[in-house]
Amino acid sequence: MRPAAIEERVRDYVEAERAQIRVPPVMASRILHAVEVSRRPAPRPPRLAFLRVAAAVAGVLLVGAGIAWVRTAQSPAGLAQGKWLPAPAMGVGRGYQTATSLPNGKVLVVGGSQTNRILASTELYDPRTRSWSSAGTLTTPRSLHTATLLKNGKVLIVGGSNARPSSLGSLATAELYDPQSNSWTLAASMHTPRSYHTATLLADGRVLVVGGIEASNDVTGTVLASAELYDPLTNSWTPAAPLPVARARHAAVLLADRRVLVIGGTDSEHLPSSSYFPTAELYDPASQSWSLVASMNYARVYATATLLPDNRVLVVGDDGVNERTAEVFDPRTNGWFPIPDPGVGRAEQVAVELTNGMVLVAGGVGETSAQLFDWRRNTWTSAGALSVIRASATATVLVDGQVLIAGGFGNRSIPWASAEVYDPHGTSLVAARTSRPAPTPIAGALLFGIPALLLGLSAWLRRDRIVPETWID
Amino acid sequence: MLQPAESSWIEPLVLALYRPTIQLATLLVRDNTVAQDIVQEAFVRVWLSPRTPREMSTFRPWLYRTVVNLARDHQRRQGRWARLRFGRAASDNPMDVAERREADTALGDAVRGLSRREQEAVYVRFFEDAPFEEVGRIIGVRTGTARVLVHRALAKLRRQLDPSSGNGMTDS
Repeated sequence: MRPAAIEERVRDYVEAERAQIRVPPVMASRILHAVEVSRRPAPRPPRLAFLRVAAAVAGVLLVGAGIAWVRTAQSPAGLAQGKWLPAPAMGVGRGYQTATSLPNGKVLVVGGSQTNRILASTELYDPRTRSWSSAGTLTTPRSLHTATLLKNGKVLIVGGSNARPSSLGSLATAELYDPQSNSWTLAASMHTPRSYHTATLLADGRVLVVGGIEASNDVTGTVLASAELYDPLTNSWTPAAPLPVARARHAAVLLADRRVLVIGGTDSEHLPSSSYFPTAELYDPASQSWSLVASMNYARVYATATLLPDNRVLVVGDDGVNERTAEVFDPRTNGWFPIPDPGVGRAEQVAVELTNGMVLVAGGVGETSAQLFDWRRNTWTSAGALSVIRASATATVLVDGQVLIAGGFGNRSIPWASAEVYDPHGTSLVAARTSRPAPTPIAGALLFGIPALLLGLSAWLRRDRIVPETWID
Repeated sequence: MLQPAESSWIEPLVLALYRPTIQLATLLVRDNTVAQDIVQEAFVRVWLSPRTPREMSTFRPWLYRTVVNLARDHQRRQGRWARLRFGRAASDNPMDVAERREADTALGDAVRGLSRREQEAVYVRFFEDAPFEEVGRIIGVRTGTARVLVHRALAKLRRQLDPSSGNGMTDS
């Protein structure tokens, strides 16, 4: 069955179910009567309002503490590797931003989206002082852009969107960040505006920008097959050989043999689509040409591709279909190597290679869990969990081997400003928590009894807000 | 009837929206009587809330979101989402119903097997062909999450109804 067919079938099903639901006409007058007999509540005395809020806050805090205590005390030991630590929050919440590890050890976070606006602000995280500071402002607000650390130490920011969050409007402009002067300058613009593209630093220091979506507005766009090369020495763009097939929302990674692997994506400007690619292609800078390699076992969009220490590539996740699967590309055979499924569905997650060669995969839409991929054994193990759901966040390896995870979206549209750090060498998070004494029955009674009492008090104080006449049987 | 001065703005909205809102609520809670109570409560709540928008374009998703939240509350209280059966009214032509029921039984069972959030996303998405941005607003998640929920649900349904289609989406 084609994906479009199931969509049509579900649409027909919902319409048929809806058509069968009988709505008595008398419901209109019943609702209007209920509205009529209800009255807007009179303003409450300030003291009662304060008590109600205080009781509710105290109740929530105590319930949360009780649940956290019980959960951590009952967790089995030794299941998770590494340790999660809180990190200072960024100045503003961001999703779809970029984060780049600089030669001086700091992390540059650029742009991104908030609920209804695109950000021009940038921030620097200093792991030595564990603090954030401003890194200036972009000339153009942008989200869904790319950031590439050049060999001269500067960071190249390319394209992206400055229309509404998640929309298509795309930019051709590029900007350069100089960590030494903590300043921004405009770089030469690309020939083609693009967002949802990839940018890969080549071995010769140039940057290969591939595919994406060209759009002059936030509704319609064209998926691109074109590719461009940025040369930092001349600050100029030259066209590269175009992809055989237009792609956006794909992933790209530089291989050890200097070729660039491009995987997955789609030729549709809007999602969901029935046209997702399992195909993969290799760009060879020596011959300046593309070649098709074996296809992945699954079609993927928004996947992550991470280079492993043995020069293979780990591909994880997908936006909604093959999200529970992972596979490995072997450049020696130009083929795909089956590995165990991670068992966790991930979309818009982060994946980063640790200094010990393991790959940390964390978060995604609706996910807090984190996992480690062991490239020697081709196995997955738990790495504990993020403190919150993070989709479209960033993960950056710090100089001491820890990983900074910043921003991203929870289930709501407001992105997090918060950040956290994964320490791969730390004591097992779960094991550390199990060292606490188990809660006694008295402690449990206190932890749940007090909040229940306070919530009950809150409900009693609110009793006169209930309007019985509004519920008519 | 309502006094014009205090409630003239909500009366046309009730008359225009009570029918589709009850249909949406019935799809969500699978009980027409409960759905009617939920919709009545939803209208009262939005009427009492000073933050309720009064324009149809913004009022409708606001009302739908209230209905979704009340439906969730009901399901949590009942704790029997998976066991609820859909009590629907009889059609004028029983033969038509029988034929269509046979065709839709598998799909209906599969839809009921989705998670609560996936069901909400699918019903809101296909109920009035709502764009993902509106689906997200109504079920209280961001646009990307709504898109993933619907996409994930369709993939599950496709796999369940047509196991030979596999996981890939290469058959476009």
